[in-house]
Amino acid sequence: MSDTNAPRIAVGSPKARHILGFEPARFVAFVLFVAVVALAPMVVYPYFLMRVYCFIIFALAYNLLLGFTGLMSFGHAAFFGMGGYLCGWAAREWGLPFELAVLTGTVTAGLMGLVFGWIAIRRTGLYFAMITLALAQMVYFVALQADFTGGENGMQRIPRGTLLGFFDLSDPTILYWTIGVLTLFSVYAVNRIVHSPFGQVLRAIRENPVRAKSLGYNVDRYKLLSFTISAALTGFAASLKAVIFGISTLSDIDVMTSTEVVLITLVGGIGTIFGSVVGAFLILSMEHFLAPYGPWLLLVEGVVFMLFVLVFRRGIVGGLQDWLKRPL
Amino acid sequence: MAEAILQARGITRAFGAFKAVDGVDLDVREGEIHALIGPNGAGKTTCFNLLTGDMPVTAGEIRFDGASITKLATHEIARRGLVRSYQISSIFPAFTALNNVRFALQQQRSSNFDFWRSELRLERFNDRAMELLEDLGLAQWAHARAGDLPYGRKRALEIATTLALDPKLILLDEPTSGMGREDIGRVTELIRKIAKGRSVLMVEHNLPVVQGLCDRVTVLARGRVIAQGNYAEVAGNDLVVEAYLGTAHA
Repeated sequence: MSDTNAPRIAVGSPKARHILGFEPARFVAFVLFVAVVALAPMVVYPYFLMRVYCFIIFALAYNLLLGFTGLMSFGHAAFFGMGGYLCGWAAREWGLPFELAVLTGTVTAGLMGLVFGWIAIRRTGLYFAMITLALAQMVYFVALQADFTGGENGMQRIPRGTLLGFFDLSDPTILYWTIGVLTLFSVYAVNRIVHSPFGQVLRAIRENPVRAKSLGYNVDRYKLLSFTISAALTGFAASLKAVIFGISTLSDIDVMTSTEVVLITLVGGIGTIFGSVVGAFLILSMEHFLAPYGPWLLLVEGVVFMLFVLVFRRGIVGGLQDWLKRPL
Repeated sequence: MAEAILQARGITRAFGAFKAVDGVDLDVREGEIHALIGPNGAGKTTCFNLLTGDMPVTAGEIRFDGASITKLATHEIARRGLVRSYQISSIFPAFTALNNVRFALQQQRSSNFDFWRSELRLERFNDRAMELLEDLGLAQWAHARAGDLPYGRKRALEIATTLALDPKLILLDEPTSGMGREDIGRVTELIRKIAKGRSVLMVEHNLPVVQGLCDRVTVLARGRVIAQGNYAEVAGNDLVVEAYLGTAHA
């Protein structure tokens, strides 16, 4: 790994005690995000917010792999798409309650991640990325051809059901709070994973996989577990999205979805926790406001992508944490 | 005579028709510092790669500490107590120096897949990590970013990290390469110090260092062992003189 991409704040710098597992600066960011979740629906359309939250979870999952393990996947749309389809299918055809439907989507994506990862970790770098892309394209083809996905029409009429058999999720307020709390919990959980003994190994693998191996770590097994967790969390995000909007479509499983999460992660900040939050808000807002201009959106996204790759590789939150000298 | 902790028999590595290492026999005895020398391209680093499992052997057998390790993966060999350092300092640049060492200490515990626990649990390794840093004169840099350390210190940090595993046999690949005279003196002292209670196998180009430090020497040329013995024996060997001078004048 080249040193120029590495974070400037050293991992393991002496620090104050953690609060809820967050370093103090990150805890402040978390409190701000709690405030946003609580107050934003008064001024912003809640369904837009919930869409953003799903992509925050998706980006957290992706960042776990790219930012904290150093593995670049171009195949995450497969987990996002299939997670959504299977959650929808479980809710509509099997009549499973909300929790079990979401669990079905999550586990499906996790198992796919296990298979994808098992094949892809045999190679590194560009080849790793290309294997994930190829596998995802095969899954896209299956989704396009299979009957159960509804093909071009998408899987429609996915029921929301009730939370814990009691709270009716067709009530927008209850739905919003359910999704909001699950998103906050996802931020907490990913921060916990990154700052666990396991996360320490992942970051060492990102820094120097050869050395990690020579120090006695079974690097492939850690990579595989990281990939599987990332895929499962992606499936979780997709399941929530399917339940919120009542539909899963081919656009979720399209390669554009894979590039979208790369863009969110890059703009927010690779290897940061709150980069996923900021990136998802920015990119989805941009998509929302530019939607009326059709293909111009792609052009703008391309320019943004190049801008960040060329002059601002640490991303917005990455740049901010370098400036504050605190991990965010 | 002490028991050989590492025994390589007929190890060979072929790249197509070219044999980079060709039927090498090598014994490292318990407690000795053993040098592997030879002209450029003799196969020294390839030999290391075979011993640590970084590269599979084409033929031959390697036994370490009484058991065959020929077919084991790198991380399994490391766990048995055969740990290497690399020719180009191999550290975790974004970690603090302390965390570099702590990461190696962490390996010997089994909780490394615990993704739900806090990393603050790892602070119980801090004292031992500090001791190791002190041993290598790195205490004042404990909280510095490892990537920012000067070259010689990175080298020392890598050795501290290797020592953290408490290996039975350390493989050092050109520990003094690219160093000035003062650094060389310090690293030589260091190797002598760490060799207490363990064995060392090192690739080294600097012959005065080998002479002053090593109990026995194995000389490789074109993938084969051409001489083995103590420094004086090897230095007087005609084949060795030819291999060195022959390439030097070519």
